[in-house]
Amino acid sequence: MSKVTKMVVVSSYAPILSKIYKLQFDLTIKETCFGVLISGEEEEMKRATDYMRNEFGNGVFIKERGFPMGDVRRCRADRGGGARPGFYQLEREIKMLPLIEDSLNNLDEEVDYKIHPYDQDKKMNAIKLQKMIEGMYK
Amino acid sequence: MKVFIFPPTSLILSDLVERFGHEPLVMMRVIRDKVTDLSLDSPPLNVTPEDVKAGLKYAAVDTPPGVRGRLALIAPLIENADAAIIVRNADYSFGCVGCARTNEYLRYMVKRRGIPTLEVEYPKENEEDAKNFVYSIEKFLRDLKEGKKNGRD
Repeated sequence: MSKVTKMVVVSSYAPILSKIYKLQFDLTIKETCFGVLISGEEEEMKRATDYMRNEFGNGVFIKERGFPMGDVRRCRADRGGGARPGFYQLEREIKMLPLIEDSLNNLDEEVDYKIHPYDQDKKMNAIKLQKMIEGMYK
Repeated sequence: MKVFIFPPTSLILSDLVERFGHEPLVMMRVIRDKVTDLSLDSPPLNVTPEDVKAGLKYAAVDTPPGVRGRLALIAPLIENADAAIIVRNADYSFGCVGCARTNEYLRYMVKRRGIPTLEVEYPKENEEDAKNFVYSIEKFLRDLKEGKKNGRD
């Protein structure tokens, strides 16, 4: 089993750290401004993430992280400050989390909600293209 | 099922795909394998000339190595995917997904493979947009599970 690191991001404050400590998972945990970073064996990690999803419901969002915790290639302390690479996207997505959480909470209630399809890319009509080309060379 | 997400580092997409019972194919896993590999061929990030050569499978030799290097990491995810969810106009593709040409090529690859694809847009400070975003993804993934045809399939 290999070691994995995951980011647990919360849309609003949730006492994740104390709860995980309480259950004594065999994981390394670090609290951050957006939630927590957890690192450990895959099996233990699965137990912890399942627990968090059950306990905190739609308020926690979990994704994998490539670099281990405190890695000198990413850690701000060793890179002379500034945002960690990749944080900009995370920061932008964190702003959307309350809306996403709200939608997830209403998912079961609003089964009849009508989805508005996004405009999918359409193929260009061949005749229209031909007319455009003809128009160009008139 | 394995679902390719774009941007491949997205927190929201990665979480939603996993939450609805599928496996997200994400960039972070590729990076993890690379940076935690015991044999450090080329520190600090362990990117070797072999990676850039691997990109030749997808793009011509005169393509900038930045594009080929990115494709070498991300394109195999598309090859292994059973479906894809793409966010259009993701205007903050920083870091490893910060190359517009690579992003265009990746979308093209997804289309060429002909796998079921859903294209959505990030919600913009609007509850209706957020609902549409989440419910579209939920429906798409539920249909995938039930084996229904959808998207461009």
